[in-house]
Amino acid sequence: MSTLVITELMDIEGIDGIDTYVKNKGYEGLKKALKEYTPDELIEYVKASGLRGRGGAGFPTGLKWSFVPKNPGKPKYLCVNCDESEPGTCKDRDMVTYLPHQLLEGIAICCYAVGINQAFIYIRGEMLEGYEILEKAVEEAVQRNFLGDNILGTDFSLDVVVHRGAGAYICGEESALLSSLEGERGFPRLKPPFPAVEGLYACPTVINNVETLSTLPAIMRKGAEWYSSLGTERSKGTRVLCLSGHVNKPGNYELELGASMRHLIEECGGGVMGGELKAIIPGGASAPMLTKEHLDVALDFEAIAAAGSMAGSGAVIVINDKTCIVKTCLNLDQFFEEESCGKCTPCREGTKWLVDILTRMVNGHGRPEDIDLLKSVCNNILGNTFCPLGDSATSCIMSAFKYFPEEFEHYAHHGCSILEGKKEMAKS
Amino acid sequence: MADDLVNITIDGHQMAVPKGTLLVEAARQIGIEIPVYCYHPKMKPVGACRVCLVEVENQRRPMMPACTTTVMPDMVVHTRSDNAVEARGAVLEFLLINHPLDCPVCDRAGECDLQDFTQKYGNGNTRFIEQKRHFAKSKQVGKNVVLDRERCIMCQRCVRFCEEIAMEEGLVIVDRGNRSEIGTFEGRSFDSKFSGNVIELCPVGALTAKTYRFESRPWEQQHYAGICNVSSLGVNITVDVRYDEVVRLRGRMNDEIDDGWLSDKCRYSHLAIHSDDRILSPMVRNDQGQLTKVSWAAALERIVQAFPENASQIGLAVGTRLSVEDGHMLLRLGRGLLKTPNVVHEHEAESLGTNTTLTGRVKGCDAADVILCLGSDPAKSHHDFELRIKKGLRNKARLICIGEQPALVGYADYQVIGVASELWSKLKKELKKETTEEESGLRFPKPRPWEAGGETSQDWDALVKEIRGAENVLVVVSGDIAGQGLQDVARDVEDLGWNTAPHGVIHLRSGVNPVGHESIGLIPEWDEDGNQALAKAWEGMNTDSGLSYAEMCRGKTEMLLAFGCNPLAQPESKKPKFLVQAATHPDETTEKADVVLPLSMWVEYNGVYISTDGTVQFNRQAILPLGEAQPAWSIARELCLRLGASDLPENPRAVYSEVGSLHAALAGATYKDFQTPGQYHWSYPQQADLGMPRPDLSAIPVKEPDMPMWMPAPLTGSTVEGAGRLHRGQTPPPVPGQRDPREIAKLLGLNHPMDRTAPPALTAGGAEKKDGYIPLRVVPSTSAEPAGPTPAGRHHEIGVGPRRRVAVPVAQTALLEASDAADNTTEDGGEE
Amino acid sequence: MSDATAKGLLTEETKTRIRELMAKYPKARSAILPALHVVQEQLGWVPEEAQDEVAQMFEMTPAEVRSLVTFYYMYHRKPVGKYVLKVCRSISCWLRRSEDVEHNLCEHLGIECGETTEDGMFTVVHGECIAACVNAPAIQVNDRFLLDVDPDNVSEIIDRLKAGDPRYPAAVESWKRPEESKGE
Repeated sequence: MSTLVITELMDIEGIDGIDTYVKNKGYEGLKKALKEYTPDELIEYVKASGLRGRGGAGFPTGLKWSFVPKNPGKPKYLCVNCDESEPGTCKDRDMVTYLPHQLLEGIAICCYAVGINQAFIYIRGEMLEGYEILEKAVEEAVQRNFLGDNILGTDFSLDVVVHRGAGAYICGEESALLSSLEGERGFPRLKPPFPAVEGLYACPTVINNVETLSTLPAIMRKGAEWYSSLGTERSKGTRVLCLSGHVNKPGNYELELGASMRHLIEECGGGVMGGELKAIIPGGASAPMLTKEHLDVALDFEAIAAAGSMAGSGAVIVINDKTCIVKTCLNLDQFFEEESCGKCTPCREGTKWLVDILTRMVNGHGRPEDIDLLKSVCNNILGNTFCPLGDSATSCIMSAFKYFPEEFEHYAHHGCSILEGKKEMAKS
Repeated sequence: MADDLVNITIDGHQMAVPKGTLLVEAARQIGIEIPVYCYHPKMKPVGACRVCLVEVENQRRPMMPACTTTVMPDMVVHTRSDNAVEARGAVLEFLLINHPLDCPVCDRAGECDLQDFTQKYGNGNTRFIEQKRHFAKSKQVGKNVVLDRERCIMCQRCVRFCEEIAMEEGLVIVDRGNRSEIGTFEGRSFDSKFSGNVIELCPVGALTAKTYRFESRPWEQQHYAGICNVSSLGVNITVDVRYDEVVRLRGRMNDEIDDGWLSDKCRYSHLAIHSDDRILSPMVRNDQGQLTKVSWAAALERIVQAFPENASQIGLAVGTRLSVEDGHMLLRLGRGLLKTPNVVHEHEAESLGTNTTLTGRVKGCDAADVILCLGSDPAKSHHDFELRIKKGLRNKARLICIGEQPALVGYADYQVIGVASELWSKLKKELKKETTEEESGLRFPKPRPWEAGGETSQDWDALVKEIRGAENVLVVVSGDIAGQGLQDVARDVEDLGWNTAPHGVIHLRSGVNPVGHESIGLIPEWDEDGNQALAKAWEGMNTDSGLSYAEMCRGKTEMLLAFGCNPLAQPESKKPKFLVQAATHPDETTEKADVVLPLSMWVEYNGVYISTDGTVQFNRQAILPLGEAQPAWSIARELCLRLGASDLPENPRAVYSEVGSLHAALAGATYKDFQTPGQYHWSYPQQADLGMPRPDLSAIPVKEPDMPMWMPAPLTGSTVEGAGRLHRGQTPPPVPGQRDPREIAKLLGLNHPMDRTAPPALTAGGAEKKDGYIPLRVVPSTSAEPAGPTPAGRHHEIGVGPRRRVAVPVAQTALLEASDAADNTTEDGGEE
Repeated sequence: MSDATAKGLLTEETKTRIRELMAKYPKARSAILPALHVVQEQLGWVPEEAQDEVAQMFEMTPAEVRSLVTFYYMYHRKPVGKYVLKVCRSISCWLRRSEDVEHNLCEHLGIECGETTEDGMFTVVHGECIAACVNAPAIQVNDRFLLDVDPDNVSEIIDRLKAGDPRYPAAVESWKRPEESKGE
């Protein structure tokens, strides 16, 4: 059994209630932070732990906090990114549903370190249950003075508001999240200014992922050194990986960073379901695909990047060999087309075009020149968009071309999937 | 080198630009065009359209949008590298895949950024074979705004205008992704005082004006630099003329006044020019009491005969829509020849007298800490000023409204309703009190009144505190301020120490040109000392004080000549014994006038107008006067001639020179004052011209500098209409103040199209690329004289033509080129 | 304001809840999305009249509210059935036959995706990833999860909903740690 940091307490019956949580050393980390550390020391402590943001980019958390101006003359805010919408990813939902107090404790620790008195949890609208649970948890925590005014007798006060989104993937992008939280359309914003300087209401803002913050209580309880001893040289600690798709036992597995993809899929997930392994998407729908050759790649930020993909949200999607890759790409791009905010041209028009071409191919009307056209459209989107959403829409196609070019060729020349065998082109 | 400059390299050109400059602006400064759609210099950059992508060396993401990227030290930028060209082509391709390509029936074709940039940077073919996105065509979203959603490229300029500039309900984006469209709240019309601006901002043909739809093609037009004739702000406009008909008015960027925007009130004021009820011929009331058409000679004769013996029984009332030249010639007629003291303009009652200095300027809003609207509501009378106030509010100003319930109520930080003069004296007293209270520390910025949760405070003490803490205060008064009991406001403000231009008091006058008329003495009191030059020139002129406009309206004189005003609409008005009106459209006065003369409208003659804050501006003639209409100066001149005067100036240019030599307030003024090239509105393809070095034309002699722009037709009763219109092939009348375009071309080292003796050599690459490609043959002009567009069109002040093909801006060259091209096509039977 | 209350769609309770939400934020406008949820809770969808009322409460323009309602896809722009069945069609569910779930549901109810049954009971819509990937295929019934749906037995879902069991779908299923073979 891998060392558990985040989900350690999740098995305990009734852990979503504050009593059970407190009984199980809940809020000890916050107490320790408030008693033993000044905010600056706390930031150094988190830096020392090597904790990196779990939202996708893997930015060192302590460093991110230290960018926030100390005395900006304005309020500072924390926004908790719980707009988990990346296809394949569902760990935040569990963390919020089953361990809401662990998140709140993490929020309190973070706010104390950065000097924030107001935190917002941006939870995606579809997680109605999570919203209700968090609301209740906040109420409980305020009653027990873990949140609210003068927390545990100190002069640190913190107000937490749970904010419900309303169905827009783009709001998971941190600046779009801010727009949305201000009551605007969820358009990503220009950077600079970065949120740490001018974020919510043009005030300094920290934006952290649920998993990142949920890790903090354990780090406080067990020590930065303990945490940094987990994982690999550069990717410390553990990570909750969402294993989904064609595996026998899909689920959220917390593993030390550095565990291999093979371990996750075969040991934890009980092997591939319904066939042989064909492709793996290792970091949510935005990440480029890998193949069975990459089974021994370690699931940490660096190793996956080196293999040509990205660790992203930690969602590992397994695809078996009975699945048509072109249709998979179509499905993935339909998502990006639907969720493109429409602000910038390449993403708005490009995702639609990709979907149009792939749909036509899947319907048997592919043309040989569509291969180059797809590549070219991807290339024209890549690097030209306002935010990374547009790039994400191209990663599945580009990687599929790399590993499964024959599938596209087959559609282009024969009008059907390679899995259906060679048929005459369905062309009049 | 100063610290605030940054060294950058764009396409190999090294330059130093101020920190914080956007790349797109830096490139513009050295004449490198970076195409843009969403970017607009008066709005916050958004980086949405991506057509401005340029390649920046040593970046994680090398393709950076030039419209949102600020310069960084030692930045190396490529706008023509392979990557940049590819990215630009890609964005244009994306924009076009769902575009209907209905250019042949699109109003914007010919001045469309999408067309132009596609031609310059596009791929030239389409790879898109899928179904295009379809919307129902042309949906009317506002009273005069028509939306074609298929053409829209989602640059959000219109949406941002409503939100950022007008700050009011307007167009929004509905839905998201590629299903996005521009819309309003369902079933609600987009009716704003400023709605027309979104049409002008739209870089494509998605938003069009109902008044202009299918009326004209841009390449058929000449563009003239004009001044708005609706308010006294002196808003700059472009008058677009097609075959001697004004088809639309557009904004013309003047940072000092309008900031590039134009209110609908002015934008659609051209509709009156060609309206059916224009008075187009002289009329005299016959024995049956009906107005009958007569010749000019007969009408003028009738007037001359009606002049009473006693000169002081004659009154001359001058409308403020008339120019300074008009006023001057009427003054000459009245005080100089008829020797009556009664020559006034219609809004003289609002005058504060020439001794009062008002330091407030329209642009003073921008940097003001407090904008104090005192008395009547400026936003009601001066629509364009509202946008300027809003600009101030966005910057830092607090808006305080004292007096009337303002139209700006949703924007006022403080508002006190009551009698303005009483509140003002109370405020004055309190501000003079010494105080020691300190400003409280930093606080969370309160939402402003127009934001959710923001509110207008009525707290008097807070208001006083706000003003006390302000450094720059702009006091805005409007209309008849004496009637509001605020006649001393200028002195009060001086006492308070606020008189530092552009802050202080700004008095928004009624009418259009009252300040101009006052500066040449069209007020009841005659300033003898200040006008000695005039008295000397006009021997025996009347220098008494005369009647006020109100008194004239009440029939205090036997005979009243009303030029461009409507005295009988005034309260307690009474028709004098003999009433003459020169008018453009019939009104109350026309109904009773004994003689009615057709008056030209402002676009029909050259004239100078002085704005409410004292900016002297020139309005260029754009069309020939309609029917038999004549400008007031010309009518006055004709009457002067009949009274035996000689040596009268023959055209507006000469009249204005006389103004410069005789009036102290405008000493030395001539038309040469207006030779600085005017800027064109930014949103047009010529946008690249702004900020580019302009050639110094002073070395080239002006041809026939004294020839009138428009020769007044002899007032013989014959119609000028036939002579007025120019037909194709007809040689246009000589153009005054015109520098020979060929000379300009030579100065710039360019070939003027007129000088071509051989077909133009296409660029080597272009001609050889395709086998069998026959380059277009350009027939060299056989005529020695260039056949140019209609008058004024070529004047360098006018700006540029519809399309530019050369990199260096030369207004005339491009204009000629374009009009030639247009002529060629039509002569070849291109016309449908 | 009194006018709006007179003929408004929103109940006083809804308005009170919205006002409470507005008070939670430094800038009231932030509460607009939660407020629209409250409106949808009361009315089942967000009609234009309600958008207008919300705009008044927030001192926003109605057009801005429309812009938001159409940007965020959780707000229904037309009336929906008592039960809105949102079928996730994103990758993890798609790999585990979400297409069949959608198809079978629609066939069983006799409607197309996006439509509402004639009795006004059921609306089937497709949704993008609803964060239940490890329990694919998943659907949401009025924003509550139904996990590990059997594509071939969707009629059971409809039957249970028709039966009106108030605990179905359950609020939260109890946590099951997926069994791991062995740690290192």
